[in-house]
Amino acid sequence: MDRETRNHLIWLCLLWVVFSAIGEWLVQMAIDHWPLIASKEGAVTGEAIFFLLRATAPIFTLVVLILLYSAIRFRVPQDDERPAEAQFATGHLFIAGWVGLSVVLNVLFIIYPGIYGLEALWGGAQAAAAADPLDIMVTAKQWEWDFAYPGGKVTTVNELVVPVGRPIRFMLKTEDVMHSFWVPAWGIKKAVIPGETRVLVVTPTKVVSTSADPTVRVQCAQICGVGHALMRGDLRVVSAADYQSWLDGKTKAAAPAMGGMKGMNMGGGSSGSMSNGMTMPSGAATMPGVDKSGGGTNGMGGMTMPGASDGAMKPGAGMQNGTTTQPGAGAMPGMDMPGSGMGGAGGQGTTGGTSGGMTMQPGTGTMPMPGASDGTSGN
Amino acid sequence: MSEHSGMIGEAAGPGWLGHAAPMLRAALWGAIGFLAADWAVAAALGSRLGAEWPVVTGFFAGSTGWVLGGGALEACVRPWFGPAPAWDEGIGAGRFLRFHSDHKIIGIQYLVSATVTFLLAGLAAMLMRLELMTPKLDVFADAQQYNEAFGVHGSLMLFAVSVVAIVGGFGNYFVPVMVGADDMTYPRLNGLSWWFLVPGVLAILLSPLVGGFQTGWTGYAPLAAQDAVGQDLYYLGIFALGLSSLFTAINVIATTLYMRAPGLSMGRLPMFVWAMLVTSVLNLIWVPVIGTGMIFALADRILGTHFFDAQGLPLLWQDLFWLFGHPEVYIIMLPAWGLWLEIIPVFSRKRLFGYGWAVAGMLGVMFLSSYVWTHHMFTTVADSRLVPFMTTTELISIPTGFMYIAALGTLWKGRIRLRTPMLYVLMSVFNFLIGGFTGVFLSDVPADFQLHNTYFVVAHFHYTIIGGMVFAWLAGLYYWFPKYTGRLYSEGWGKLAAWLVFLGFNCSFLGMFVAGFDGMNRRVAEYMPYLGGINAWISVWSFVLGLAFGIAILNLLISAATGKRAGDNPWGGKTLEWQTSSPPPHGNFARPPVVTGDFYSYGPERGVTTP
Amino acid sequence: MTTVQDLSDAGRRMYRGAFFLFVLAEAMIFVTLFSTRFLLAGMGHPAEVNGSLGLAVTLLLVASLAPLFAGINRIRAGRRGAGMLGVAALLGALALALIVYDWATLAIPVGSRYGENYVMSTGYHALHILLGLTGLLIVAGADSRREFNAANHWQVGAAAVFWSFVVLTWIALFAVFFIF
Repeated sequence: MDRETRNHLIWLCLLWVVFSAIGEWLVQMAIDHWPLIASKEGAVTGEAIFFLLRATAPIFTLVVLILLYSAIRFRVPQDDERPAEAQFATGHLFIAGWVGLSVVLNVLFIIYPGIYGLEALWGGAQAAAAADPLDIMVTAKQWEWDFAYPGGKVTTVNELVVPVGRPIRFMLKTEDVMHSFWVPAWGIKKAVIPGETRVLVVTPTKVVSTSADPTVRVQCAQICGVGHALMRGDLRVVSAADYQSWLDGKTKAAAPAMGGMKGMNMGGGSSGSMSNGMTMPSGAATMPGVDKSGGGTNGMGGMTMPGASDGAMKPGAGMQNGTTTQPGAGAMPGMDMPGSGMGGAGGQGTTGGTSGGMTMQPGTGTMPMPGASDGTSGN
Repeated sequence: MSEHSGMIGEAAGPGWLGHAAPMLRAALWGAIGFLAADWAVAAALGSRLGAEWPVVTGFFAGSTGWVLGGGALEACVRPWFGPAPAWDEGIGAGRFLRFHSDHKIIGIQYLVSATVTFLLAGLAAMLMRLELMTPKLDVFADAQQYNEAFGVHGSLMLFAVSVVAIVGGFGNYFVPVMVGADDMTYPRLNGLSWWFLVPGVLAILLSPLVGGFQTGWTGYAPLAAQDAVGQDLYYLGIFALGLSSLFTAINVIATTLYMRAPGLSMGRLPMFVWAMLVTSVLNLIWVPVIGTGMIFALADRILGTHFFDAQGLPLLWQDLFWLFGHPEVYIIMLPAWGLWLEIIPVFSRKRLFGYGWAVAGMLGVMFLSSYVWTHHMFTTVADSRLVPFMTTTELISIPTGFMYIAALGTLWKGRIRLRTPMLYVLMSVFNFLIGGFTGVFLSDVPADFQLHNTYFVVAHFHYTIIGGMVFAWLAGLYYWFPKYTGRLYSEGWGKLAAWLVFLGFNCSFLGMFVAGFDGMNRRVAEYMPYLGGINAWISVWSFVLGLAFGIAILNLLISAATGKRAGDNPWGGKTLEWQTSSPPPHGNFARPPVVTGDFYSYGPERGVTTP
Repeated sequence: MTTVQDLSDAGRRMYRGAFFLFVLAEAMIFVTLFSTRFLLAGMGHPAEVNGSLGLAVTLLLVASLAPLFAGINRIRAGRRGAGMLGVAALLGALALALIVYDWATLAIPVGSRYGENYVMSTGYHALHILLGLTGLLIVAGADSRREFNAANHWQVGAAAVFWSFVVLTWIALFAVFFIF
């Protein structure tokens, strides 16, 4: 390596160190002033974003520096047509370094925060299923959010009140088109698909409300028509006691004579079956995937299917293996739909092939705890 | 005298009306076709003129009338039945206003239509940014209008500008010249392709007249089923644009494979031609898929089938759409990379670094791009699909990096002339780096759970498409300007516009990342007041951007009329298009060229191509 | 396109090769159609499907290949093949008529998942039969005007390639909709 090249490289390295430090400092500033993160899941997704910001800052700096350094240092007047002295067409060290670094970084990013974060989310959802989750039925429709609280008595429109610190399992359904359930401060969203019930588990960690911080709001994140922008609901995260008193008040207002949430409260009532994730005390209609099939038995029939297919796809210990790479692109429709078609044609006896297919989605498609644990208990 | 002088200057011979006669006939036949079919079907069904069946049949009849009226009747259809082709291809400006089989004419037709469409769709964007200056609805009458605006903006920008401007414009104009051929393989099919483009653009552009579509450019079912007749025009328009892309793809592949000059082995192929080839393969494979998807969706609306509604599979639409839609973003970006690697050696006066790596990177992107589509659906699909598609999506950044190897390696220790095209290319390299790195965020499933459908995504893909592709397209417009007009552009205005575009673009779209982190979701006309500040910032800079684009394009238009004569090879380029006159004559080369060396040697051994 | 062009070998190779690009793009349409059929309707088909009619269409189309290739061979030998090409087109037209008849007497509920896929795929295919027929008739007409000779007849080859593709996709369609 000649002296001139060495000087270029030394300069480049120095500048890189300086600007990387500035970059990291800027990233840290941004992270320090980050919008509110108010759930366990948001902490996972937020940490993924922070890690990627921190990790990509120096690489970004390096590439931009090479670009700028070349453009400034090797610049000639714009009419100068003489060829450059150096006419190399390859540089093994540079290429090997680049390719090696990009492979290493990509594999790293796939594992952390990619698979690691997913594991945290899935594991958290599974743990939540065993830890007294609060089941809230969410019905999206043009253009409002309807929330049904455990007990079947209390429903709210565009207003969500939840206790802090307790896992909440949102059962997401839509009456019309696709929507997407998103609370920016909770750092996670889930699309709501017609004909399916999706499950999203969130554990709020901060007592906040929309009026205090506008990122704490239920927001539709999928274009759903004219009212899309305003399809949002107020959200209040309150203490457990406040939640209980709010719920009691609402229940009284809804049905003054009854204290009727006792038998139906999925959280409190059936903690014995809770370990299995069989949070299905009485009304099958509260479980995902049964909106198309009529009665309770059909509902159960619909539910065992996802368990079975989940079991087949993720042998062994369910959740942990959930991240093993499934073979390729067609896996989801290919595995769900033929089964559904046969289910419809054969002895499944639900409303039909397609609806059979739809009821399977929740098991495979979302937090698998109903499906997966149902499968293990069912088998 | 310049072959294209008629384009700008005096109308010789036939006069203005004579020049434009075929185009006028096409418009007339198209209008008659549309109105007649529209009226007939409406009368037969007893429906309104603006109802679905009348409009759909009207579109087919109108498009047929337009294409035939432009000259396809005489040039393409009549010969099937015996008579020899009898079509006057015109002279001067008239050549651009009729069916023409010369790839250079077609290239200019594409460039002009892409530029016009770009400005129109950009105008829609300006209106949207004006609306978003304040949290409340105040420019548009209602949210429906805003939704129609971003639908038209997105669909046109994606399907009629991004995938068309470089491939249809420069691809048509320069692929045959750069491989040393006299024309494309199927010149008349090539001529047809542009005529199919126009009905597609018009269908999308005019869709608000029949109710528009509110689904944005992705047309997600089942919302699409609720839309007015405009949604049908979206399907039909994209179908027509796809047909146009398909014809170009067939021609580009065949021309590159079969019509290369003697001595031009695949290993010597210019980078731009490689990019066109790879892009065309992607078009060839995936355009039919989305075309079929469009037919399914149209059947859902007008025949009452249930492919994509709740009875069918709403997610199947997304799969079919993104099966094309993700390769499409590489259909957009690959040509831009081709331009980078074409322009950088010329203005660095240095051999292209890592040619083999760049080609391998393009091929790698081509293969991988077909296996990443689910990353648009991370929040909608089954968990089992997350990890595989996260993996493929992350991996595609590795071959993408090879473009950077070639670009940076060529710049290093070159003799860099920062003329306008080079400036745009360096800016594109910088912008696409941001687009690429933010893409890593979105490919990472946990991060995507938060960022999906926010303004972060909007910023990300604008960084790849404007920052990457449009900057490269402008670079190409300036780089090849002397070739296709025979004149020099104004360097001062060019650079000023470049810096303004760069400033406006980065200031506005960096702001969008912040808005996304702050919880602003996509496709909204109204937002919560706390997002007001950042949106006002974005809007103001986006107006600067719009103005700057205007200056950049105006500079080209003025220079095309008044610029100095350029000579054949003003930049000292070595690829074949610089070895013929500016613009190239009909047939491209006075004598068929023979290639005896590679195109990127600037060392002592320069001058290895013999025209 | 049907005036006699004296093409070089390379030119003929180019037109032949480039035409396969069309066919590849067309094939992608049927890949989409057939995979959608399985995604939406699963395996199996309703009993009402008119299998004998499907078989008849298959046989007609396969049979049309014989006069098609006979016609090409005659042109390749410097004789006129228009008659044979016309026979192939006639068989194809019969097949098309059968498909139209099938649509008119369809026993499968069109609103079912299988039914709409069936109609969509056969409809798309009928469109391709129509295109193929147009191609055959054009080259047959051109041949009857003596526009080809033993060396230059790539248009006939292209029409034949497209028609063979139509026949092959029908066989695949028959398997996908009548057998599985």
